Amino acid sequence: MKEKEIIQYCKQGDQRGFKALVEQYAPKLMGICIRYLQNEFEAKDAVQETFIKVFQNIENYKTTGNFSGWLRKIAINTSLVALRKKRNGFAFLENTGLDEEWKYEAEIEIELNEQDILNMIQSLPEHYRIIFNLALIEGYSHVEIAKLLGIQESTSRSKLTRARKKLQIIYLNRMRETENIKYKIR
Amino acid sequence: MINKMQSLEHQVDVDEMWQSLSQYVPNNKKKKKRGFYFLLFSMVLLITGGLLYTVSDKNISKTIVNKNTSSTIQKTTVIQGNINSQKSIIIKDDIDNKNVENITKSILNEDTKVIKIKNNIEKTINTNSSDDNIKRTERSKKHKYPMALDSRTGNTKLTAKDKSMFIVENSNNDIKTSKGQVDLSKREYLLFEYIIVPKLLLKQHKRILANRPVNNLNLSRKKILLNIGISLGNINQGFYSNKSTNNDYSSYLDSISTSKPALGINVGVDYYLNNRLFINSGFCFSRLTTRLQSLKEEEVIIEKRSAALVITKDNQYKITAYNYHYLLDIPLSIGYNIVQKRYYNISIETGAIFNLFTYSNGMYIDSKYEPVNYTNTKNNPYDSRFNIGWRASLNVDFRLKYGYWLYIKSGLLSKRINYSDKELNINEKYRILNLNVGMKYSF
Repeated sequence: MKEKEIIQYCKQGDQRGFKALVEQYAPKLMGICIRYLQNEFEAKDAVQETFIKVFQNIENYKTTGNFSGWLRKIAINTSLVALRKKRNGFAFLENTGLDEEWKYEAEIEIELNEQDILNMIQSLPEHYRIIFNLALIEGYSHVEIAKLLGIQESTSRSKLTRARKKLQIIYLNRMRETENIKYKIR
Repeated sequence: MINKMQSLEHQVDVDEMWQSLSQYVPNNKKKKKRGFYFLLFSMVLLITGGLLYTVSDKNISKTIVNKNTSSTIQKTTVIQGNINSQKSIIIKDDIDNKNVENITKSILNEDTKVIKIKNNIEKTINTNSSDDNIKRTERSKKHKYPMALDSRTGNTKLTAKDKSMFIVENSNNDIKTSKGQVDLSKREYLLFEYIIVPKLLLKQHKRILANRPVNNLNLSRKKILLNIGISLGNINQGFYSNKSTNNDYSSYLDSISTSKPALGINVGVDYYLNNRLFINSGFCFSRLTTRLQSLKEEEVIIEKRSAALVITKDNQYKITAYNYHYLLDIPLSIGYNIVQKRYYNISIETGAIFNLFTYSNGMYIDSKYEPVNYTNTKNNPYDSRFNIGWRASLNVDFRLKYGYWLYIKSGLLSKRINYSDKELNINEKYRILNLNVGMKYSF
């Protein structure tokens, strides 16, 4: 079923539309939620929450917009809400002290598969993972991230920088373990 | 890497997920049902009103006439007939139908005949055919208001239009025919009115009497009906941007706006151009209530221009506010009576609504998607520029006593309110499924 048909059926309250919506978009939304939530069960709950919100609000959705983008935003926000509930807000993003000094930077030269990348992102500490996802994967600006999470803009910038470096370290460590990497130490 | 993550798909048991989600599929029929219930309610109201009126109306004619005449005509205690019908007969206590017939015969020669029509006590007297009678009959076809007994004022001066005849008994118990006007206060008692119909045209005349339209409104003399009423409407609100770049914004407003029933009060007049065609105008003061609010869940995702906004019950983006719009309108519409019955009329009406003035207060969302309270401030984004809307309705009028009518209008209104923010350039449109109930008075 095409996207337009799905939307049309859903707006009409036709079960076929909702079912097609779940079948077609559940894996994609799962891919988004799992980047924010380490646990697959939590991600699944978030996807379900996302669909419930979509069901409830699809009547107001204007067909002129980007439907996938709309779903994506709902999924991201649902994941953030789940994290916020879990951590009782995003204050912990502001309160983390300076991390260890960063010594390593690497140029990734090996092609990674999606699961590897996902594993690496999931292994990031939560406060880095959120901002890394929002800024690099979703393309949000620091102003938007700051507003969305209720943190300082500078916090968002510094967290992103550290997240990148942390990711590099994770990457290097993994590569060391498997001895399949080429890296240089600056 | 970013591209891979953006297009990342993760395996999930879709069937299992659908099983748990299927219970959350909304029933979209609710909205349709709302409209259905509205129509059902209107129909029930119409039918109930009609039934109640019909039951209570059976004795209206008698009641009206008795009340008005008993005070002025002491000897005439039983009066039968429908004052609004083409013919009315007033019969004294001691004169039964047989006597009337005898009296008639004595006056109108041997071939007169009294005919009962449809169990009414209307009677037609026919005589031998003659040229003169035929002429009278032709006139009688056009003759709509042979008697002018004023049911509201109790005027005892009865005027026969055209050449209808009255049979009158005077104070000396002399029975005579009379043309023109009879003054009952001068102790002349009207027995009945007659129109002479030749035998040859008897069938035709009966058909004319049986099928003639009953002119309830008596519009040849009651051209104006004052009306006053209240209305209740179900609002369907929409935001429309005049700039394509603002579509996101108008969609956003759509997504957080709900509405409450519209209330209104109206006064106006129906001016009848002829028996069926009328113009309605007047003033209408109405209040439209809308609500900006986060949707059902604690957190709601709203599209913004470039990012997503979470509206929660706890943070600064919570939006729960009522907006009140007070409108003063002048409707101007034209209507047509499609059904005219003795106790009710059904008409259709359509026309324009000229919005003269709008006053609003409440809260709006500015171009930065921030809620702004504009009550009693200069931030009010709405202006009271002149606007034009339209309306269409199906009307039912039930005749009551003394020239009063109960009317019910069920229809659709469309109104527009200007959003004066130059940057946003948004219009708010309201489609209102409306039920208007009130009274009319004809004079």
